[in-house]
Amino acid sequence: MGSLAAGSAAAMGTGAFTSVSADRTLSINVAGDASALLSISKAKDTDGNVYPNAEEYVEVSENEEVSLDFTQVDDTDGASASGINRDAKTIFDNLLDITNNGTQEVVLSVESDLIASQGGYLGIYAENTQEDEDTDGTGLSTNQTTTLGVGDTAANIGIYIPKGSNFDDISGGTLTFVAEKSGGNQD
Amino acid sequence: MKRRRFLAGVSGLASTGGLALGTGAFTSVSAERNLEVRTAADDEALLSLRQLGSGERSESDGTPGTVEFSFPGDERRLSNPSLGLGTDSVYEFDRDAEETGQSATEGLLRIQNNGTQPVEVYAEQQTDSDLEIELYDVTDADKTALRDNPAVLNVGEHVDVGFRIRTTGTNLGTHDETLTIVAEATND
Repeated sequence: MGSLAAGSAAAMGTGAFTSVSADRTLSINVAGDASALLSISKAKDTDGNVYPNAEEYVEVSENEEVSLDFTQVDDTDGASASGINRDAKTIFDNLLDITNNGTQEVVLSVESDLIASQGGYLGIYAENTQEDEDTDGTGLSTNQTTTLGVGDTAANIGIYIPKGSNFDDISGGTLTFVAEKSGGNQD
Repeated sequence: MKRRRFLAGVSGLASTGGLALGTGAFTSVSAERNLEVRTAADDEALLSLRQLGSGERSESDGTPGTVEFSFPGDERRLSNPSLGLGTDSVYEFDRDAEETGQSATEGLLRIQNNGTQPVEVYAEQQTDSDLEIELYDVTDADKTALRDNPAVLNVGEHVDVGFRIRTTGTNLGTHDETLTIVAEATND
């Protein structure tokens, strides 16, 4: 029938758009605790051997996630235990090493309602902060932060349960390890 | 009677009312018109998406280029393939990996409105992996996710965003995720 095409093009206007929806890709690698940007692993000595306490009380799940279990002890000599002593101060040294595998210096702290200064009953410390321990008379460390440069490790993190803890207060829960870049949110 | 016969003879359609198509009757038309459109690289598009920083955690892919992101950044993953985000955690990345110190560039992505109307900007994500990804304005002290409080950009304005990634319940391994960045004209 012959072309009816008109000459003028329906050109795009000067840039107004009603909506845009752009799909963009992210590739994210999720790793086990030992290889994470904030890595958490069984505490090791300077020769690279895992400490006995870490071996006993630190569990690693199938998802390679770390947890602490103080409910059962199976000694290699055949003895066993089912819990900590009542009315006693119990200290567990050398449980975890936490390493900053990120790209900036961070301040490491722990948030948990299990911790005495946050309403709970236990204390948590890293070996290299014990000298700066700031106690409030109860023997519990209130200064629970440590600064980690890139590649630095908060080594030999331990837990203690003070004497006199109310038996009914002692229970399990969650420890949240927080690493925030030094200087926090002040931009 | 004479009149009626005449009308019937000339054209069965020429009755009063509905079927009078007028002087332009046609059975079909196929009219070709031109439409011009051009795609642009992300940083030159109407909704401009520009990577910020030194290209560790971001890159421009293809021609014209679209932005892509990687956590950890590409180089670190090459030198340490097992490195990754820990599980059951919340990570915030507010700048590129090499950006440290006083003169660091903040933000990983600059979203700019190159259109002619104000728009609201936010991001959405559909995933099977349980990874949750949010964008937040790096100048916002509360770091509110854009999807909870979209950035309003007037013409020419931009927002520099960081990424918040939650790995609650996520499996180990590499996950390729799609984030949909949306800009909608605000109703004035």
